[in-house]
Amino acid sequence: MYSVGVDIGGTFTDVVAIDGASGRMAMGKALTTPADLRRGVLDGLVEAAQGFGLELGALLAGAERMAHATTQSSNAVFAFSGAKTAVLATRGFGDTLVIMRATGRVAGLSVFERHHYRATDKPRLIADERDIFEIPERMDSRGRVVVALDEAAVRGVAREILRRGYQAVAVAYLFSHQNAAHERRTAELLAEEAPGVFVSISSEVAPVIGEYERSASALLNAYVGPVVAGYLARLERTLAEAGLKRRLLVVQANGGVTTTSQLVPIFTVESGPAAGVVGAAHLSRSLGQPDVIATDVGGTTFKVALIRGGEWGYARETVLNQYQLRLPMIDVASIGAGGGSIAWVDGRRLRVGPRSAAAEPGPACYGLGGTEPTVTDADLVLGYLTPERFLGGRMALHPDQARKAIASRVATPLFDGDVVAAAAAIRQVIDSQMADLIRKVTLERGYDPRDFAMMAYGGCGPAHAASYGADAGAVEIIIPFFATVHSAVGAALSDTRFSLRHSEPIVLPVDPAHLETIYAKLEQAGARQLAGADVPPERRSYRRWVEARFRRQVHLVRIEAPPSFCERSLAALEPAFGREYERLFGPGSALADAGIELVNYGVEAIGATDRPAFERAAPGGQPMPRTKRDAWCPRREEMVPTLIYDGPSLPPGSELTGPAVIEHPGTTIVALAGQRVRIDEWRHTHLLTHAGS
Amino acid sequence: MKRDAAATPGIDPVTFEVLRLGLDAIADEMAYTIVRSARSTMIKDCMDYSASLCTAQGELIAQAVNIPVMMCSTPDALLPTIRKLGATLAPGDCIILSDPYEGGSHLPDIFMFVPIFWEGRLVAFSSTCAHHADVGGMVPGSGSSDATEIFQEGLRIPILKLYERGKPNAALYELILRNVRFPSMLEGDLEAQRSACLIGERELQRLIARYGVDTVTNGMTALLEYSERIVREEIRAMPDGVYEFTDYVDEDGMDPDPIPIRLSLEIRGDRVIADFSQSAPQVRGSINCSLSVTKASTFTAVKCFCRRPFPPNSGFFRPIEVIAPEGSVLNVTFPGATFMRGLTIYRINNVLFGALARAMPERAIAADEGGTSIVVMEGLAADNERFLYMETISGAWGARATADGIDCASNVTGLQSNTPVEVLETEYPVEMVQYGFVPDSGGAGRHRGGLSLVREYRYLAERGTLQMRADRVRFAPYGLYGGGPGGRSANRLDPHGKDIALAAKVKGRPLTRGEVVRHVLAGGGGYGWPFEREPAAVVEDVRDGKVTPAAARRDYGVALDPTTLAVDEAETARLREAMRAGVNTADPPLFTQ
Repeated sequence: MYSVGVDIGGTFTDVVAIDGASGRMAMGKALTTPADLRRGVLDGLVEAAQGFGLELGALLAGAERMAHATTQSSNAVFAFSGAKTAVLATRGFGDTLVIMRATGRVAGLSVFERHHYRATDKPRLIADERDIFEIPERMDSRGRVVVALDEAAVRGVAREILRRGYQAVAVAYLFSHQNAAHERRTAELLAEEAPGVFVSISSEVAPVIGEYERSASALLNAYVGPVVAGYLARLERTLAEAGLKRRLLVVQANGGVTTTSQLVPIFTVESGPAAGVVGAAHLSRSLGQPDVIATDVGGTTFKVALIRGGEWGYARETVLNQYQLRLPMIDVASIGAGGGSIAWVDGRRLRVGPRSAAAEPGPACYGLGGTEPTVTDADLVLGYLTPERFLGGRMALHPDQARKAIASRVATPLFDGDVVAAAAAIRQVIDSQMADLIRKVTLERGYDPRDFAMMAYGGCGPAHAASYGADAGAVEIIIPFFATVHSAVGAALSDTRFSLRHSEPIVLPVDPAHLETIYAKLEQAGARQLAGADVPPERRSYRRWVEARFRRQVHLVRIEAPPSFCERSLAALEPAFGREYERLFGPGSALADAGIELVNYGVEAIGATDRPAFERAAPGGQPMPRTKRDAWCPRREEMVPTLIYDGPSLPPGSELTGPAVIEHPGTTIVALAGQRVRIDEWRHTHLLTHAGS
Repeated sequence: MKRDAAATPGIDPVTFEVLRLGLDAIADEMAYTIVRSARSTMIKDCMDYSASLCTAQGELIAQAVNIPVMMCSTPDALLPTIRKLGATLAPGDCIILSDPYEGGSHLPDIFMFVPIFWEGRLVAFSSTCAHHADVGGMVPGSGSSDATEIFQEGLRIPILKLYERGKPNAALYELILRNVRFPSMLEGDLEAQRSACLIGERELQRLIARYGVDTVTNGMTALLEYSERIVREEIRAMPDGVYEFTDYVDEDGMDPDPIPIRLSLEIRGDRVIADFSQSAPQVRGSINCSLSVTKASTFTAVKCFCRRPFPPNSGFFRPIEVIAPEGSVLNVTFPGATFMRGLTIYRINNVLFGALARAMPERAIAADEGGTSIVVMEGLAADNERFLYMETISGAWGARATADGIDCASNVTGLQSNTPVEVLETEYPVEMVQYGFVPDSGGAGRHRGGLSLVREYRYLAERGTLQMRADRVRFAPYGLYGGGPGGRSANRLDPHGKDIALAAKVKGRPLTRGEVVRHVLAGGGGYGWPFEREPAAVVEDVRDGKVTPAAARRDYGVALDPTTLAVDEAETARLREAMRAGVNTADPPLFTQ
């Protein structure tokens, strides 16, 4: 029986299949096929099946679960290819989604970008004013009806929506997080009057306080809804025809899977990186390294997530196309830095990124017409990459093109024509940007990066981790054996997970029975969802959290909530909040006399999946280098003879010392001078830096 | 390995870039700490705070900018601090100040500095500044519109050590907290500032441990020189000349006279001289600016007109000279009142943008809404607890030479955000009746100005008071090169009943339960002749309700079928011909107000 994971990226569609009995794993890596993504998925599946000596049909028939991380929702947002979407809003507040709290010009932009006053603007709106309809209705802050829902008005708007050819509608009324009755009734009326139109209500997508963010969440969900639902329905049908017997599971940004029929489409946004974090968390637990900084370097972005005690954290806010959303989403920070990041000279400064050559035209060394030097070009010039073995030999690299690009754009203006020095400088700048992000992410969350092990995956992570990891203070860097398809592994291992939320500001003290009622309701809703995903009761579990703040503060701190509320467990909540607050903001920062206000309540309803134990390989044998060539040594600031190893054939238990380059199909691990390397029994690579000493 | 040593003496371009990134990351980290741990809405939701690192000599080196004006004025607060306390500074010290007559800008803005030492040597300062919700004075929020001298505006904090060698100055704390209305809020906000400064200290020391103290201090010098060099190159590329511009603050809330801000801006070689000598003398009301603020506004405006980005540090201030005589509204002398000086800052910015528009029409932005409005409501809440609600409201951008003005974005001089209705209503006895755009309020033009915002409040507490600070009621935001002015601002009481006009500056007016207050922000000015706007763009605006069909005809000369919105081309051509004939297109007026 197999567990299959699929992750579609911009360039490649990654597939892994894990045999539950033996723990053996096979991978497939196919080119992504934007015109019809199903083709790339099938190509990847065929390759993975071959790994077990099977036909596609046999693999699918033997698949116990199949989980898919999709980029469809992100693509629809970035390419503006979502549905024609209308919005229903409370009368008097229809402009909320256009006003964007006055922050729409700068949301999601760096300080650097914000200050280009003439170049910045609001995003291209997903719903213009003409698409927004005001409905007479109003709730107060406690969810009491102030103005009844004008049903006739809703019906009238519904007919207008049909007439104007809208494919989706977002309904977002004030205080619907306190009382969703008007939104729900509106959805019913829309279903009656405009059947076939996709309806998203804000109380379902983001039942939390803050009308702009809740409305934007519903809007984006409506916008991607028909696209995502249509794609998944087609894929599910295709896979069933090809032999899949199980329901297709979809990875969500919260790190868990759901079924296609229960999916809130916008929850799939950034599900690939989320799956990567799930994979990293699983690995961290199985390796006995509960505290891990997960880093993912692709072609265009560098992503960082923290895992503490084997658990990831959740983001408070998501920015999509400069809209600010509230989604249950793993906290993954990112900057524009990756293998395709372009190096450029600004005045007499060397800068790298955030612009990327992406896959088209790609780095200069791809020979696809790119003339600007990228990080990958620098890696090639520095001797870390083997031109004829790039991506497992699928693509030949052109060192002459890389040298030419670096020479003309960086070496000549800044380094007296010294191409190697220029390439080393490009690498140093990009690596320190990555290290800065790691530090920022850990410090902002109240941690010290030196207390963590690091994990590096994605196509370019293993080639740079030795530098940015050591720079950020990591003592140990773990590179998973399947680093290049790591997110697909995470998808295959994901639990079923539903994130339920409720907002209700309560200043302590409060009757614990009231809190228990809130959570019981959320857990009942979670149970229904899990049942809908065929999770049997013995596999269900619930984890509670609460977001609280000191009174009159706005920013919330999330802590775990007890599994049941009584006087005692409630009394323990206050000091727990104080501790977490001080951990985040420093000793003595807690304001004991201000009073604590509970604001948001959540339950993670989890359906545990069986995670196969990965196959262990017997240790033995000596690591034998494949070849030897000169590669850059940042310590000595020169090219030095460096041994090149073939990764898959390195025996478990083997140890070697940098400088060394270890090549895997799809990625290359760089170990710097003096760093030690150990291959463990699962064939993961452990890099030991000197940061601790 | 050879690196270009000539570029930035003493430091190679890679180390330079790595340090720049590192210093920026520290400033960001500090700003993040403030917002996460502060208490008041002004700081947390309106983001009225900033954080920075400065050199031991008091030069700004890296900043996390929310309020650019606040930031660029940091050196003028730090320099007197160094002069006064320089010799006594020790690790663990933490200095505060707010007095505009000793480095501050207005009393609610409290600056805080932590000196950073390395091996016994002072190497830098971490600095924060935040607008506090109340620092005492005549009215809650400290923002009385009828203050005429600084003593009425709250507690003046001279340059003093709040912490000395790590020990809090309990007496100073007690004195401060005794003199403000919401002591626990101020205490929390001060601690938030201090946490941020300490993080700046810790992280800079980490950077020094890694790269060495000389590399880091040389890097700072190189950063300053780099920004200076870029700015000089940028200014050199601007057309030389003297550019004059005048705009007005409606009044100061005390006397009815308009207050002119007159600028003569000279661009000469690689220098800019902003001469405000002909501006109004100091006024009785509280809209007077310290010179530091006038300078900071000028720096920010010049930066907006540069093409290339550069690190916003003290280096870029060097080629820019600002002249404002003592005793003028732009260089206040003791004991002038300053609380509402934010309003004047916005107008200084409008004037600078206007003068720069003369020099560089292709980079110009027409007048914005004229600055954020402030609304303050206070009283007793149902639980008999005293409440104070204060918010700033950000509105419209003026049209740009290349694009329409933005409909609602925070002002160029700040990065505030508007308070969510749900947060307002959950926390305070106030109901929002309406929050939206006002049609036809964007200045007409080839590029349209951003629309006005309206915010309408119903007061739900038993009784209390209302304060408002608005402007642009009399002098509309100007349009450029034929573009029309933006819609005017207005304050109304009982807008759906008696509809009473309130003054632009409302000072402690009593409020009782159920009363409705309406505030309309001004709209942005337009750019270029309205009759040159593509009729299709006008139709799009009508579709979105931004422009009414009547205004399409009146302001843009576009005749539309009111139902189908089809353009009557013949009628439109006729209307536009008539409009064109009525103006001198060869010489469009620089601005219309």
